[in-house]
Amino acid sequence: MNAPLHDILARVTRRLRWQRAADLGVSLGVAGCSAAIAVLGLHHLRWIDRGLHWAALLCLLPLGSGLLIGALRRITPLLPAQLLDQTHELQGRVANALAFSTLPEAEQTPFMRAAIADANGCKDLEPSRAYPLRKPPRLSAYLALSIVVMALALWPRSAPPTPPERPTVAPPIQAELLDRESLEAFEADLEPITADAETAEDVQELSRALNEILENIADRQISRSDALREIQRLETQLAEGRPADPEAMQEALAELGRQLASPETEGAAEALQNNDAGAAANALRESAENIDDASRRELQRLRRALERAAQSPEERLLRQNEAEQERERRLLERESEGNQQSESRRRLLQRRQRRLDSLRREQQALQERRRRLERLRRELNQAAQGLNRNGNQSQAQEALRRAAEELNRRAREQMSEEQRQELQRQMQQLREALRRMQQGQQNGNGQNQGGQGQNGQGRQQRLQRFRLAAGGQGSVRLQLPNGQGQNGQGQNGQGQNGQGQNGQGQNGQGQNGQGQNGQGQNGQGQTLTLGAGNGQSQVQLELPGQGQGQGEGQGQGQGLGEGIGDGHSDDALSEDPSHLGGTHQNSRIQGAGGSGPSRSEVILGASERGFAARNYEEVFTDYENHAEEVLERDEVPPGYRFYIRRYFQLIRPRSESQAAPDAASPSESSTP
Amino acid sequence: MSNSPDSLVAAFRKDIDRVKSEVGKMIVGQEEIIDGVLTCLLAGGQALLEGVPGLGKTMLVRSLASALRLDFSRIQFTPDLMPADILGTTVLTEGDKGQTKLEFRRGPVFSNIVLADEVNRATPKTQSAMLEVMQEQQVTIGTQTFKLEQPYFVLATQNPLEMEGTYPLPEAQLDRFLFKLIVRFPSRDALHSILDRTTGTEAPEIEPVLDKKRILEMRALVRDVAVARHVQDYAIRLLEATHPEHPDAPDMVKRFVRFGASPRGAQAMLLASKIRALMDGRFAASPDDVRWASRNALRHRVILNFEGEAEGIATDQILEAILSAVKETSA
Repeated sequence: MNAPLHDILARVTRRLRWQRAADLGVSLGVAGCSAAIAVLGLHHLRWIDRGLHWAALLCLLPLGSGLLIGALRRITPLLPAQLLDQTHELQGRVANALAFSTLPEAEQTPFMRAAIADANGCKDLEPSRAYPLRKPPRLSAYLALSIVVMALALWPRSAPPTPPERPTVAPPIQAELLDRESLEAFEADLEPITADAETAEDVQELSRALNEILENIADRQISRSDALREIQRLETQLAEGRPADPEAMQEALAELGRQLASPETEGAAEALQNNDAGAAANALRESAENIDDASRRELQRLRRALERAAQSPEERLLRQNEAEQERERRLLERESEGNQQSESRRRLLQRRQRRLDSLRREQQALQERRRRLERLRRELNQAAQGLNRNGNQSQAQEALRRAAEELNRRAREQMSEEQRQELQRQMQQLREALRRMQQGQQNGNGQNQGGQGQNGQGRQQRLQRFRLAAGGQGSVRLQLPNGQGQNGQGQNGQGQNGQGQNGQGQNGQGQNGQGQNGQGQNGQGQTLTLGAGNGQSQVQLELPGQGQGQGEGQGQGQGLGEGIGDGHSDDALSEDPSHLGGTHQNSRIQGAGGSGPSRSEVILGASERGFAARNYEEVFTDYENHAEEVLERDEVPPGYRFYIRRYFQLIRPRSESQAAPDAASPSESSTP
Repeated sequence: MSNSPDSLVAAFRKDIDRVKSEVGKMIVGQEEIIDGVLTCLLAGGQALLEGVPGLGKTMLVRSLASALRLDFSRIQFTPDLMPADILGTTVLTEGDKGQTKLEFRRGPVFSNIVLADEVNRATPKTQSAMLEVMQEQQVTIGTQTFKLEQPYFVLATQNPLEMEGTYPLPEAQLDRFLFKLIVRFPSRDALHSILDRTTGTEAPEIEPVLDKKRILEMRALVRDVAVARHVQDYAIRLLEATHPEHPDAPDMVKRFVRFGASPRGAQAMLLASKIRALMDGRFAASPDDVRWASRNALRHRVILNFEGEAEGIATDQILEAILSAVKETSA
């Protein structure tokens, strides 16, 4: 190829380099400027220092790098020639000539040389036409961004911003969890525990925490789930603070009281047998005061009584227990040595193992009793020893006083235990009340929905509140005008007798839970007598019949079917079936017969109880038989057969013991 | 005549122009087809013409034969046509002295230019016999082998409309055609010219301008045309792009093509590019030549898959996609 053509090609190549350098430089420059703007923004926000330096670097470095890389990138030698051919319609003459000219002379054919000569003869080749330089596509963006960068760089940096004050966010208002009356009742119940100076510190603390929950509920500052969680936490704490076996202590004191039986310690012995440690302490203290005035004979009786009491019967029992355990263990080892174990042998081994476990538990209880009264017995022993030595009655008195003090401690523990129980009961009631309130809210207003059974529930809650407010501890009795008996269940508002009057209420209620029959027929004229626990006052409520009947509807509607009411008459129940005469009281017991729950209810209930119900077994058998028939009859793919059988295997009926772990995870159960 | 490339190319171009001019007396508006047919003739390959009846396919071949001073025969392919009907057969003849002898009577394939009209109507057996002749350019009957006279050129036609009762050529046999040319309906101006020439009193006469010897010389000259590596590379890249499994294949190819073109396709493209360069007075083929040749050379070599057939995709659409995707310039 001749020199002019080479020169033209070189010029085209240079244009290519410039253009590529500009394109790449501007593209990277845009990215750099964008980053620089972000950096300058952070700089003005005082998040970073030396932002100007970084911005300048980000603006210039990408641009320079792009220019350099673009300019140095390799360009295929053929590309300028092809561009010339395309733009000048040379039909590949220049590119062909360039390609042929790179071949050694010997390899060039006449046609190649002719092609080179042909290309050399091309006139009016213009590099600018072959590759016109154009504005980089992102140049405008780059310029605009550069201006922004400059403006931001020149903009004075603002003063450091003061940290904004965080607006106090009021805790969200929660839904009403309990009504005011219930809350007041709970608080009133807790007050004796909180106000009592003798209350143990941990019980006080728990009581205060429960009070706080009640206040939060009253102020609507706590959600139901949080409240329940808090109650759960307090219950756990309460359980952790309780002695391991409070009954063991009571038994031990009672036993001590029996051993202490003597005319001189009669009061203490009786109080101990009655599990009244405080009275026992007073009596013992009194006995100590009377020692000085006691005759020699009385002192001897007292000494013997104290010696008896000082002896721990638990020691003997423990020895017996250990001997028994050893015997059982040997028998168990010997009988389990055999290789082949029949069913009866296996059962025998299990029985022995259970016996062994029982003995171990008994041993632990005895040890606990011994430990609890160890100090008290030691004091009693010292008192007995003091009386044994003539003239050392003051030592005996002192020992008896210490014993009384020890008993006082036990009394305080006893009281704390009672308070703990009371506290726990309060927590359970509160939890139950919250749950019932939630159910009531979920079910909606009973009157609006026409669900009269819910009204009964509301009535039940109001009764409960009333009982709490009245402070009564006795049961609420329901007096019916027809005198058909009291069943004491009016306390929870179910009032089954109200339905027993004619049985019709049960039918309607059993099916739809509305209790239409029970509304007016039975409830009219009913009198509800609420007795206070101490019997000092009575409150009589004239309850509208509707409410009473509705309460029954709720209680029965879910579990019973239609058959019960239709099959019996009032006369049959009012008669004395035994014909023995005498005073009797008729009680109407809800039968479990009838059509019972529907299949879907059985299945649903079974899934919750771990597939262990008897009626579920029948339903399951039917379903499984049907499934097997279908599997036999229809063309079911083998893979699906497996899944169907596996499914029925998973929901098969189980015994109660099997169901226990399964029932813990009802989400995994399903119904066919 | 000088043997310099310049003079050889100039003479080639002049002769071709004369042939085109003579054929153009009879055939109007089909310049692309004429170029394609001449390319096949000069490349030593065969051409498959596809078009509806009445577009002048037979006339084109007849005119070409007249302009080239070559023997011409036409075979109308029908379902009952037997191989012997086109190859020839041995018959018992009686000599001057009354002796009898077996004599081979040559069939219509023994000609310089053969028009196999509606080749897809013959049975596969007859088609195979014809296509074997095309490939081998010789006929073997019994123990005798008859070389066909050069230049030998077959133009096969097929009608795309009437497909009932036809035997579409298998892909392997289609591959033996250098070009597949689509004869399209002429434009309005071309129709005017056709009507003027065919309905008047004067019937154009075609002068023979080339003979067998010159055609063979031109065929030899075609082989001398230079092809630069990048042009050859472009042809290869085009060929590769017709294969759906190739990474550079366009999406359309990957979706609609079952088989790509064979290496014969690249050979056809390159040979045709050389001829076009000569026709254009150049000494080397260019990417433009390859681009021009690619459509005719690859059209019948790209086999659509079921989806492509179902979607009604034409192979020309596939080739356009390939030509758009494969750049002729280097990066």
